[in-house]
Amino acid sequence: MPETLSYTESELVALLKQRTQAAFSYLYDNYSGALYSVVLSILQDKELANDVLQEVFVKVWRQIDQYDPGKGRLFTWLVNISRNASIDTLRSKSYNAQKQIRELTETVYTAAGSINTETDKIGLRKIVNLLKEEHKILIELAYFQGYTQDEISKLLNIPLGTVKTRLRSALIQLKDFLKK
Amino acid sequence: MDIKEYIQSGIIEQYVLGLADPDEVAELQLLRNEYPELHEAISDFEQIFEETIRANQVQPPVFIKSAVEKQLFASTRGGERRNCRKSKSDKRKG
Repeated sequence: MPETLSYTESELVALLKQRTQAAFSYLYDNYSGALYSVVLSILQDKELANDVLQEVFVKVWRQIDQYDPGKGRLFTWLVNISRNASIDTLRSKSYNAQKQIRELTETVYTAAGSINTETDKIGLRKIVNLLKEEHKILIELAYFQGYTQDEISKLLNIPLGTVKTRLRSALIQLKDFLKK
Repeated sequence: MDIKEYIQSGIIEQYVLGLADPDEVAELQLLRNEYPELHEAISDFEQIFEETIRANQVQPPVFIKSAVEKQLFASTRGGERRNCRKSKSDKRKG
């Protein structure tokens, strides 16, 4: 399907507010791959990611009026909705039940070979994996698992100030990798 | 406020990735209106972030698009109008 039309973010937002199916179609075609990688990198489970991606697009459709361009790009907003929806799922009961089953199966597989090598290559994880361990852990907990800085401080038993400093320096490192 | 130092502190990355605390977000919003160079630095990082995510994108299974379209457009001719009652029918919890 060749896509000849190309809209700027503000044009797209205006079209979405008119709620036409064509606007939805354009949004989906141009953003689903990126958003799916975000969801998948957090959930690391295709079935769940499929459900959450649907949920994300429904949410975006319903909440487009809440998007404020003064606070950032449409893309950033979409990624944050995707990340939040994924983390909500991560915290939900049904996820935890499924995870237990999956971990049982994984133990069987890991003994035989690779399982995590595949999910480690998804989206932002690919880049985060280049960071040193101390930075990786903070981004894992904050970005991929959705813990607040306060929660991380309690979880790792290190002062909040240290968490803040370390998270920032992790992000500065990450930025250097993104630029490459 | 040394704005250059602030720009390089990592707060921009934290904000864009959605990892800043509410008070940090509020501060950044205030400063952003005051310092155009901060605003520009945020936009620059958002751009880099978008390019990276796009470069690593993963295509979802094809059925998802039509599944969402069905949910959003199939019910009435005019497409979905904010239908609060219907939104409860999230099927995920099961």
